[in-house]
Amino acid sequence: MKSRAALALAPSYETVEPDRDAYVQPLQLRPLTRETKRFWSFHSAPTTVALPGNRYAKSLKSFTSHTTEPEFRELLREYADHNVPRPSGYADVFHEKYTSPRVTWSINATLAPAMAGGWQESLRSGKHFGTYRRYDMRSAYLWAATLGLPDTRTYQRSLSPWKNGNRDGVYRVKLLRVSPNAPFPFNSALECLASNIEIETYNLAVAEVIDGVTWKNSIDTRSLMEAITAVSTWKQAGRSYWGRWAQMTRVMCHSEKKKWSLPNITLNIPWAHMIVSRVKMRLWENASNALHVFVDSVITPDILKTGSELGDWRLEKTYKTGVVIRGPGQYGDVDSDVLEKMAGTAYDSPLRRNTA
Amino acid sequence: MAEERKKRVVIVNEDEPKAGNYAYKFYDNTHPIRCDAEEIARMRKSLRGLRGEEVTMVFKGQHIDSKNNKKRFTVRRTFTLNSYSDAFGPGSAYASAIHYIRDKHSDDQLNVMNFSIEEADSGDEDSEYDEE
Repeated sequence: MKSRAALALAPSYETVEPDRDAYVQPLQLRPLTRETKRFWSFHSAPTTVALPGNRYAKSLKSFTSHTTEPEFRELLREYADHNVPRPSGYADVFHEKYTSPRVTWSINATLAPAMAGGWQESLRSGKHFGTYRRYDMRSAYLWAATLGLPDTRTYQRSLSPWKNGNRDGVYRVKLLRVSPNAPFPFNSALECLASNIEIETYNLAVAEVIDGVTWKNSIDTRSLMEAITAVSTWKQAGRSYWGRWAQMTRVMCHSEKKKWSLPNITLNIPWAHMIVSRVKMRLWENASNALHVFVDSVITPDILKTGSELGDWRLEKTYKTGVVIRGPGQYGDVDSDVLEKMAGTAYDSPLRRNTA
Repeated sequence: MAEERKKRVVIVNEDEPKAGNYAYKFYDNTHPIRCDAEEIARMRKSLRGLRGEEVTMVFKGQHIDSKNNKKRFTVRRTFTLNSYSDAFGPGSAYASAIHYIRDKHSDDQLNVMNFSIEEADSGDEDSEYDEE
């Protein structure tokens, strides 16, 4: 492929300069779209803008762990060594090195609308006195992949989760009733995706199977793990690598006269569901007395076995006097005046006052 | 086609005949190059002894739209069976049948339940009807 001239020069950082590509903040990117009128967007926010002279401006939004120019330039140097000179996110090197299998549209079509994300729930709100501990699963999503992923070559349609003796599967099911003791979405939704293992473990009351896909065996994920751990940012890549397998939203291409969408060719709902469901199940197994769960972390009075391997629990904090839970992702030490965690709210904001 | 071999019916998904299989998954499995060895052997067996004869393949399946409405379809293709690739793979009778349905109902889920191999065309036409 013919190399672009702009690739020979390092991109500018938070400014747009002649002859170079640029990495700018999201708010700087929007005015550029009005100037050039040729850009790509995702969830209505521009991600890349084509500049005159075969140059591109990209958003810095995804690089949350590299917020200064020297850090970001070092990251670009490292990614360039892996043939990704202009990354859009931390998972780009993984997708360059690992080709996700292509799955036919029909397999995803009826499963995708019922796909659910991680379990974030305040199980018991309010002030709780006593000793509580907050544990975090080490690289939870990465651990989930180490258990193997379905062999897409053996995908087959199925409507009988109870019949496929040696085949595992994921099904879109209608439930007779919600299961209050099961994790999200089974504790709140009547129509959801469930693997045969989840149906059995959570004792789900299945009323109807709308669609399902089964597979004969799992593939070895060593090459996938190698592609993720090839870079120093493997922890960040480990959080986002599976996102494309679940991404239903299309990338929009805009030009002066028209706009069109690009389908996600790596959509693979069974893979995405297996990754998320394994993390949820691990969390659920240790959440019987929990006050709060948040994707891969749990606040519980129980003492969990910790370790240093992928998927092991890590003790993040012990609340000696007690803990206050205001809502999902909103919690803190009962002795503190402000909530320790409240997503999207500044630490000194009055909203964080511990008044629950 | 000899009288004793008048009609052969092949179930696409033997584990769950009523569920069938995804039409394009079955296309991949029966593809002469990218095939699934077990599946291709089963299909070759179903075609055995018919080389050089004019046959009609009748594909039966179902498409499901985004609102979960199910519609069954029957598509017939008549051709002279000279090789496996006349029935399956690119440009085959099966490919022509599923492309025909796909073009009518893009973005729908397409499943195929079974197909039969019959004496060359009896005159019936393709059909579609709501599932009961």
